[in-house]
Amino acid sequence: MAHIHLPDGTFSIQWVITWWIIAFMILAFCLYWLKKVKKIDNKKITMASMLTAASFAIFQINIPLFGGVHMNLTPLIGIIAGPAIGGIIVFIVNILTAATGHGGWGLIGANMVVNMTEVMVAYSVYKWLGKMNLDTFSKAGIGTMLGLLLGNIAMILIILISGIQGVDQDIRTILYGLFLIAAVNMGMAIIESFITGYVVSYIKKVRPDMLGEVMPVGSRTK
Amino acid sequence: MDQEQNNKKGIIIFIGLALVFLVLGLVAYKASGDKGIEERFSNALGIYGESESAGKEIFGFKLEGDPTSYVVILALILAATALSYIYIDINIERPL
Repeated sequence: MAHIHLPDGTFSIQWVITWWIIAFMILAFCLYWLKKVKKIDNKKITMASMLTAASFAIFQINIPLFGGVHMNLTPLIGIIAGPAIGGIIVFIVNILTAATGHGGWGLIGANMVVNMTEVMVAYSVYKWLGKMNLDTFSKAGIGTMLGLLLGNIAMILIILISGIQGVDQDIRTILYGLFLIAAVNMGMAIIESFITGYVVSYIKKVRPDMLGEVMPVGSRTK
Repeated sequence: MDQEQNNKKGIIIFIGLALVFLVLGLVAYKASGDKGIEERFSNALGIYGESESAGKEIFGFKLEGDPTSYVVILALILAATALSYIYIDINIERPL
């Protein structure tokens, strides 16, 4: 997964405010969508709570691969909960991760944009591949990998656009360093895509209604 | 038959992507060395002399940052959630 692990003060205040405004706009759109367009039920709210807890909990685990990386299951959130609820989940998870020292408070806005990219892309790819009649594991796995790839690209772009305060490093060195981070993250993305693929396949098998693909038997009417 | 072919197609694409990213990850790991994510960011951006403190240890678990701020933020989130629940009237379909 992609996440900007930088302390407060690395981005200038203008860019901190800019990314926070964009994050609030995304959040406002998600809330508007849930209020006016897509009605949610109690099951979805319960599921959103579970996903928030799972995402935050797994984020705290430092996985001893490639020197130490994190997961946060954003593609799984996108596929199961959808982008509207997913936006609210990643916002809460980013606040909690900032509270535990993963990235500064000022970077919550930028990290929300990065994670929202992962949620949106994973959801869109999963739905789009559904039209090609692929199996659930492949749809979720490919969606996860592409979501995380785009999330990493978003992370690089945000850092390059914002610039880093008080640093003499030239743009090529920064770009090379960020490319290495993204590449290592993508190595980890393979494991995350396996996990997401299996979780979504299992849910599809036992509770397809949770994915909004088949209505539960009990709810069918004449 | 068609379904089976599509299933194979999906797995082939998945394994292909996984192999590409695995090679990319290993090459990047070799090039950058064995580092944690914070250290990778510091090296990439040229931020030296500042590293995040491990924080206090509670029952063997290390919490990064100040645990007091964590409690304060949690309280604020609870308050915000309660206010959102009261004032933002999200259309919840309740079972009959």
